[in-house]
Amino acid sequence: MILLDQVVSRNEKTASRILAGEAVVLTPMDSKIHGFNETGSRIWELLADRPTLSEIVAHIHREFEVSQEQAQSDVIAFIEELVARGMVTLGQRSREG
Amino acid sequence: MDIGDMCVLIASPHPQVIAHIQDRYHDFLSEEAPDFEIEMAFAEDADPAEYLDVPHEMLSDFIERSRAVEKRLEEPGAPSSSAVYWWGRQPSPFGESEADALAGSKPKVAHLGHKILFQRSDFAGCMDIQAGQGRNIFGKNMLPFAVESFLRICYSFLAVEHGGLLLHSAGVLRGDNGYIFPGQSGTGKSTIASLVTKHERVLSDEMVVVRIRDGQQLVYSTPFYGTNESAEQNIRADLKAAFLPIKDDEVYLKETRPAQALSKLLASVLFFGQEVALNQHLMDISAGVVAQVPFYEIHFRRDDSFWACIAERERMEVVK
Repeated sequence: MILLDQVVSRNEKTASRILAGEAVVLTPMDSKIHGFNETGSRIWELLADRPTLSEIVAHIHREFEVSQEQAQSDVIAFIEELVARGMVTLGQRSREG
Repeated sequence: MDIGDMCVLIASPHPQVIAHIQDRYHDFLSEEAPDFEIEMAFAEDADPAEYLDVPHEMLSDFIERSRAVEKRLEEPGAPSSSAVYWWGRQPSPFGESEADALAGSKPKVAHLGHKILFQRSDFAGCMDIQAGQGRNIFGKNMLPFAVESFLRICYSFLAVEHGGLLLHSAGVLRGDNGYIFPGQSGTGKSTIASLVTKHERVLSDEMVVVRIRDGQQLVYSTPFYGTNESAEQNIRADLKAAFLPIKDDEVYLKETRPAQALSKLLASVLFFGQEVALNQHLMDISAGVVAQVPFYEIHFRRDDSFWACIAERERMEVVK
């Protein structure tokens, strides 16, 4: 189960680029190329700073003008998909920050 | 040998290996100073693990599968080795599933420090990019296929090392303009290459090298062909545009979004590297190509009418 205070990090094996607001991600583990829509691309961009889920939700709620509930539901579904594909890992933020 | 302005010196104690290379890759032979050196030996010459200087257990895939292939080939009525090792040119008499199980279409790759080990059942090879050296070992029955497979993989790594890409793509020269038609099997590369008119010349129906050198985008022919051997010469041309082939009833060009172009380009790159830095480098090179080369979808029928769209685009470029 995903918790909102968990930190989301890109799998360091992935290579990615964001072109004109769209992310393209290469996963060498399975030789696949992934393309995301506007929201997914923005989330992938945010992952560069290893945010918590609640921080991602706040960004999406604010930037895409969707309700908090909708943003949370969408972000969790997307991150779960990325976890299942091995593209991100979940962890806890260290106390030192 | 020179492909994409990358020279490889090939050495072997076996005259038949050298004779094969001189014959098969005749138009790509060169006397330029090599960027990389490769030795090729037969499996009977040496212990494969010792020859490649890798742990024995890492070669299990090659050893087990090469034995299975040898055994299968010795059975009464078995087809020749050419039926097992094919590059998608014709259906295997073994049946595709058995041929795939025996030969395997994808090599198994492992990184050992700065060395890269790759193996299928027809060959095992190792490249040390930093040292500029590689070795390939294979059963002598597998001569043409093991050499071709190894060279394709070697050049895929060398291309990235030199800031380029070995692409699954048809390449066409039209006047001085080079064009690529990247795509995986079945997208129409061979069809496009077969539909050239007197105004075009085929660089390859299967694989080209793309490089950006001194800010100039270049496309190179390769000896790695699919269904026809029309790329008989080592040719370099300015890369003017990339067309992603789409079979359709209508004929037209459509500009692609940058991310769409990058995804399609990456999907067409021959590359097996697993290392993080190598893949990031691959991504950077590909993004550089997308930034500098116009990409279009080219919707085409099985006739040469799509060249009119490309000619129209050339006229628009001149007007600009």
